[in-house]
Amino acid sequence: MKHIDQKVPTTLCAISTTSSAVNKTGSWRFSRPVFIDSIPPCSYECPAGEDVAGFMYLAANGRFEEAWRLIIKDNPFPAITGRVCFHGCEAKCNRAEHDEAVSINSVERYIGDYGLNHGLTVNNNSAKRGEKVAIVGAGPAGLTASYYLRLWGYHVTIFDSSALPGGLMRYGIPSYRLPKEILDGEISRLRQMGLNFKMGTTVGKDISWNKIDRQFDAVFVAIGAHREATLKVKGIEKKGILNALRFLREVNLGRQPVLGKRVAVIGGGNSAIDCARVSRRFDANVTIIYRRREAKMPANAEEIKMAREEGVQFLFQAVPLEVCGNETVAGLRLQKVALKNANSSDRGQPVPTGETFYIDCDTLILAIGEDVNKEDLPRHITYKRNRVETGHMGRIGDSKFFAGGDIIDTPRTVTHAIASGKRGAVGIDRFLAGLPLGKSSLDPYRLGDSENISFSLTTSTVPFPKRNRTREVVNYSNLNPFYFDRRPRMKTGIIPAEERARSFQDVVISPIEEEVTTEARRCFNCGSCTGCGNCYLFCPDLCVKNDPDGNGYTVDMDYCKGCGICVQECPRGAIKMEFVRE
Amino acid sequence: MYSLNQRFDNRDIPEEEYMTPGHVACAGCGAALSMRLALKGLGMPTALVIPASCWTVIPGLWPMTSMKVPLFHTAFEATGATISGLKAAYRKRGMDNICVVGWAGDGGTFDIGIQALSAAAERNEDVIYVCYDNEAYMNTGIQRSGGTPIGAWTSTTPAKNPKAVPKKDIEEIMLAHRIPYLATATAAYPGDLIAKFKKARTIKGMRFIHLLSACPAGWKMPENLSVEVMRLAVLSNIFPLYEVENSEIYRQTIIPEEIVPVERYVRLQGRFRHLSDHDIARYQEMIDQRFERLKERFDKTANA
Amino acid sequence: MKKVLTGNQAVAYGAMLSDVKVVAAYPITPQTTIIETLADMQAEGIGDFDYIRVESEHSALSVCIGASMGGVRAFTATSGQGLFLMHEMLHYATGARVPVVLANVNRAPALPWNIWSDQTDSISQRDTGCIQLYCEGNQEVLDTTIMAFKIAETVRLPAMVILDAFWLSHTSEPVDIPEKEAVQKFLPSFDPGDMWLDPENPRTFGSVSMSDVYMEFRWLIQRDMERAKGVISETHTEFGNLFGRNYHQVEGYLTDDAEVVIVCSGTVASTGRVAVEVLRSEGKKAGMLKVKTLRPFPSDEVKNALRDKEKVAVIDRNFSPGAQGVWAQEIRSALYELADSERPLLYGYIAGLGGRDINIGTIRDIYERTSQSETPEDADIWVGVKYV
Repeated sequence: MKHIDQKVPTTLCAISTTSSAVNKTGSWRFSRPVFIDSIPPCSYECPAGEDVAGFMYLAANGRFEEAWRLIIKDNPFPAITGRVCFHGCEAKCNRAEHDEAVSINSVERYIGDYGLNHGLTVNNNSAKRGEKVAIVGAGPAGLTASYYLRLWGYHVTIFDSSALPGGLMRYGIPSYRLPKEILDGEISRLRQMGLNFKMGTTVGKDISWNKIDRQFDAVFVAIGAHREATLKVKGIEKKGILNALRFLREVNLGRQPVLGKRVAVIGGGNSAIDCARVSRRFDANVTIIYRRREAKMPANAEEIKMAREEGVQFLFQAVPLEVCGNETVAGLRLQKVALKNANSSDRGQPVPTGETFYIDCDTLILAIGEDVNKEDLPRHITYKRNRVETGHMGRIGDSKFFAGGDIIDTPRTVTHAIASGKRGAVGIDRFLAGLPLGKSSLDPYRLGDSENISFSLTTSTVPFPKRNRTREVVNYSNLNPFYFDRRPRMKTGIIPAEERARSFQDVVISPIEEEVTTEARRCFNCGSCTGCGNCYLFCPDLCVKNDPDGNGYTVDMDYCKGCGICVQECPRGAIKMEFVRE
Repeated sequence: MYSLNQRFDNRDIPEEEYMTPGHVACAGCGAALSMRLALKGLGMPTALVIPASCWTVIPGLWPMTSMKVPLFHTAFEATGATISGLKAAYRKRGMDNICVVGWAGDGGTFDIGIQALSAAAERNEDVIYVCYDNEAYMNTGIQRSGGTPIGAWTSTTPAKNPKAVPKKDIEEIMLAHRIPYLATATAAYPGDLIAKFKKARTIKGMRFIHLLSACPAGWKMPENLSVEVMRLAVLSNIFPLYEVENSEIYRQTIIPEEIVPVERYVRLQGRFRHLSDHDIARYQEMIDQRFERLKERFDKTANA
Repeated sequence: MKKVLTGNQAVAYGAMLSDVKVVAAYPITPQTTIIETLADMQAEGIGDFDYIRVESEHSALSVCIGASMGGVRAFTATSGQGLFLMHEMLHYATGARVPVVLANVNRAPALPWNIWSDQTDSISQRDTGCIQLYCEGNQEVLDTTIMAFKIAETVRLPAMVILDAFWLSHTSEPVDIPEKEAVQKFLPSFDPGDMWLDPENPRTFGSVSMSDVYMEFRWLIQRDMERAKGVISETHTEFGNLFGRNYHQVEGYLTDDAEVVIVCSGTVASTGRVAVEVLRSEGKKAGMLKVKTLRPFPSDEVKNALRDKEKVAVIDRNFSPGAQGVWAQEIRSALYELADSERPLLYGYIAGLGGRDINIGTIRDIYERTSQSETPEDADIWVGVKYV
C-alpha cells in the first residue's frame, strides 16, 4: 500500500516450500571423506596376495563358489594351501587385537574342498596366444606358472623327471598333512585346462636345454633344490643315516623305509618335523636335535606342537660331535652349546660349551636343508648366495628363461612357490608381449610396498567395490571395533594324538559349513566397503547415497559439511578424510 | 550388499528420507541426525511442532525448508499446548491418523516448556513429545539448562564454577504422570531409535521420547565424534537405553556387553576438561547409583 | 429466542453458535463462567468441540494457535493477569496469521490485587496485532463474538471480544439468541484454505526470516489490519441485515450540535447515553461518541464524527503510566489530521480504574469541567481521585 518499493511475499506468513537442497552446504567444508580401499594385513602378508576379506565375506554369505573363484585368481590350489600353508596371514590378523585371529586357513581349506567336491573348473581365456612356453619342474611354482599362462591362452608344456606332477607337494609333504587325493584333484583341474605334461622327462638329460631353448618362446624353470647338505662330523659315512627329502620321498611313494626303533632327526625346520612325525607313524622312538632354543626353530609352531603331542622328543642347544657305532649308527655324541647374542630379532650364534653327552639311536635323519644343484641347470645361469639370480619377475638375465620356486631366493614354502610361479607367469606374459619388466611394471598388481602380486584385490570388484586404492595397510586402530562383537575363534578339529601317530590320514578334521560361515563372519573385512550402510545412516546431512553404478556409496559433495562421522563410524577403515582446498 | 558380521543389521532401516540436504545444522550435529532417523521411524502422515531451539534454525531460512513433513514453529514454552491443539483439530476433522509430534530441546523441555508438557502429559494428550537433549541452550551459545550434567562447563557455568547440581531426571518426572509410553534413544543406535519411534506411533496417548543428542560445538569436541560420544554415553550407563510401558514396565533395550568407565565419555569432551580424577570418580559413583535404581526396575520387569 | 443471560453466558453462546471446534479453558475471575458455561455445553452435547483444560492462559492461546494450524475454529477466554500471560502468544497468533478468537473480560492489573473492571489489560495488547472489539451490552457481546470469527477469518488475524468485568460479565440482561442455522448462514464452516499443517502438502510455517524479508511479512499484517476496517464495517452491515441489530465502529449520540462530545467505550457508553440525555434535559449541549474498535483504530470515522466540534472529553478506564489515557492518545492522533479550524479541543479523563463506578454524576462532572475550561490542561485529569 503505502511506502512499499518492493514486491511482497505471496504468503501471509513465512511459509517455506523451497527445498533446502538449493543451499549447497558443501561450501562449508574444509576436508572431505573419500572412499578408499586399503590393504588388509592378511592379504599384505599372503605371498599369493589372496583377497582374504573378500572370500571371507563370500563364505560368510554361503557363496562358496564365488569365494573359490576369487581365491583362484591368485592361487590355483586353495585345497592344498588350506592345508599346508603356514598362514602368516593369521599372525597379522587385526582380529587378534580384538579377541582371536580369524581361522583363515580353515576357511580356505573348506573353500578349496568345496571346489573339488563340486567339480569346479576354470575356463581358459578365449584369447588364444600362439607362443609356446616350457615349464621345467611340476612343483607348485611350475604348476602355478603353467596355470596362469594357460589361462591367458599360451601353449604350455610341463617337463618333470618324476612320474607324477606335484613336486615336493607329492614327494615331500607327508599325506597326513596333504592327502594325495586332494593333490590329485587340484592338479587334475589343471590338466583339464589343456596343459601338456611330459612326465618322467629330465631336462638336461632326456632333452637338452638347448632344444628347449630352440623349441619354446619362453621357459620357466622351477626344478627345486635337491643337493643334499651333509654334516662334517666323525662317523657320518655310517649306515643308517638318511637324508630327509629322500626319506620323505620313499614314504610318499608308498615304500617301507629302512627305519630303526630309535630315530634321531637333526634340524629345526619343517622337514625335520615331517621326518620325525613320519617316523613316529612307523612306531619309532624319535628325538629332534636342534642347536638353538625351541622358540628359534624355523619350523611352524603348530607343527612342533602336534609333533610333541604325537610323542616326538626334543633336544635343544645341542650339536652332534660324532656318530657312534661300528658300521651302522648306534648312537650320537653331542655337545651342549650356548647361544651368543640371542634376542628377539637374532636367533643367536651357537658356541660350544665343551660339555658333551651321548644318546642312543639306530637311525639318523639329516634334515639340514638342500642346495640348488647347479649341474641340473643350464650353464648361462648365474647365482647369488647359491640361488639362481633373477630379475623382478623371475627373469634370468636378458634371456627367455625365468625361474621360480626353491631355486630362487625365496622362502621355501608351497605358498611362496605359488607366488614365484605367478610372478614368473606375469614376467613371461610381459616378455612375450614385448613389455618392460622393471620393478614398477608390477605396481598395478602389488599391494603397497609388498612384492606380492594380487589379482583379486587389484582387478576384481567382487565382492567389494575397489576405489582409490591406497598403499596403506589397515591396522586395528583404523577400525571401529564397536561394530564387531567378541566371539571366539573356531576350534579346528584335530584327530587325537595317539590315533594320528598310527595313521597317514589327514590329521585335521574338515570343518562343516556352519562352522565355516560362522568363522568367516568373524572377519573384519578390513579396509573394504562391505556396504554395511553406516556412512549412509549416520550422515546428518543426508549426503551419503548408494552409488548408481552399484559401487558401494558416494558422497554428495554439494552438501557434505566434512564432519567426518562417516569415517569415524566406518567399521572397516574404508573411508578417510582428506583435507582439500576447493 | 550388507555384511552379516555387523553389530547392527541396517537392512531394516526404512530407506525413505523425510528431510532434504542443505539444512543449516552445524557439521556433525546430533540433532539433525536424530531428526532424520526419528522421521524414518515415524513415517507418514506426521506433523511437527518445534519451539525455539537449534531446530528453529536448522530447517533453513525462509523460503527454504529441509522438511518433507509439515512443520509449525511455536514459542519456546508452548510445545505441549500447541501439539494438544493441533491434535484436537485433526481429531475434529477426522484426520486422527496424523501423528502429531512436538520436538523440543532440553531447555524447551526441562525448563521453560515443562509446564505445558506436564499439563499435556497429565491430560494424556494423544501426541508424541520428543526432547532432543544436547544438555544446554546451544542455539543461544551454550548456557546451562536443567538438562546440563553436573560438572559441565557452559557459558553461564564457567570452568571455575561449573554446574553444581545434577541433571533433572526427566524420565522419572514424566513417568510420574503415568504416561503410556516413555523411551530413551540416541542416534548412535539407529535401529533402536527407529524401533522406538515406530512403536510410539502405534500407541495412543502421551508418548515421551528422550534423545541424547551430541553437540560438537557445545560439548567442545571434534565433529566426527558425535556418534562415538553418544555411544559411549550408552556404554557407560550415563544414558541407558530403555523404554517404559504404562509408566510401569521398564525394559532395557540395549544392554552393553561391557560397561565403559564414565571417564572415557567425559574425557572426550572439552566441557569436562576441568574435572579432576576425583571429580570423575564421584561422577562415576552417581552414575552407578542412578543405574542401580534403574536396574532394579529392569529386573523387576524381567522377573515378572 | 430471548433468554436472560450474563455477559459471560452471552460469550459462551456466541462461541458455541459459531461452531468452534476447539476450546481451551483456564479459569480466572471474572472470566471463569465463560468456560464453565462452555464446559456444560460440551458435556450436554450442545457444542461440538474439544474442550482442553490447560494449565495456563499461555497454553490456552497456544492450544488455540495449534488448533487453528490444524485448520479449525478455536476459542478461549481470559481476563487481566491471564491476558498478560497470553501476551507473547498474541503476537505469535498474529505472526502465524491464525484467526483465533478470544474473549477478554476487562480486569484491573495487579498489584494491588483487584478483580474489577479496568481496560488496562486489553489496552496493553494494543500492539500485538489482535483485533479489539469493545462491547456495551450482553446482546452486543453475543453478536460481537459471532462477528469476531467472521472478521478474524476474513483478514486472518486474531480477534478479541472485550467486555467489562461484572458490569457485563456477571450482570444478566435479556438477550436474543439467534438460531444456529441463521448463524451458519452468516458464518459458514471454517475454511482454512491452505493455511494449515497438511501432510499432503508439507510446508514449514514460520521459518526464520532475515531482515531482507521480515519487514515485508510485518507489512502484510499492517495491510490486513487496515483492510480489517472495511471488513468490520461490511460484517456489521451484513449482520444487521440478517439479524436486525446494527453495530458501528464509531457510533455518535446527539453529537450533531454538541458543544462537548464525550468519547467512551464499553459499558461507559450506556451510562453515557443516559448522562447525555440528563444533561440535554438541563439544556446543556452534550453528546456522546462510542468507539467499538481500538484495533484497527477507526481514525477516519473518529475524525469525521468530531470534525468542527468545539470540545471533546475522552473517558479512559485505563492508563499508560507516563503517557496516561490510551483512548485519548489515539483520538488526539486521529484529530491531528484535521485542519486547525476543524479540530476540537481534547480533554482527557482517567476514570473508573479497578471497578470504580462511572455513573451519571461522574460524566456530568466531566462535562462541566470540560465545558468550563478554556484550554485543556497539560495532563489528563484523574476523576475523583482523593488527595490530589
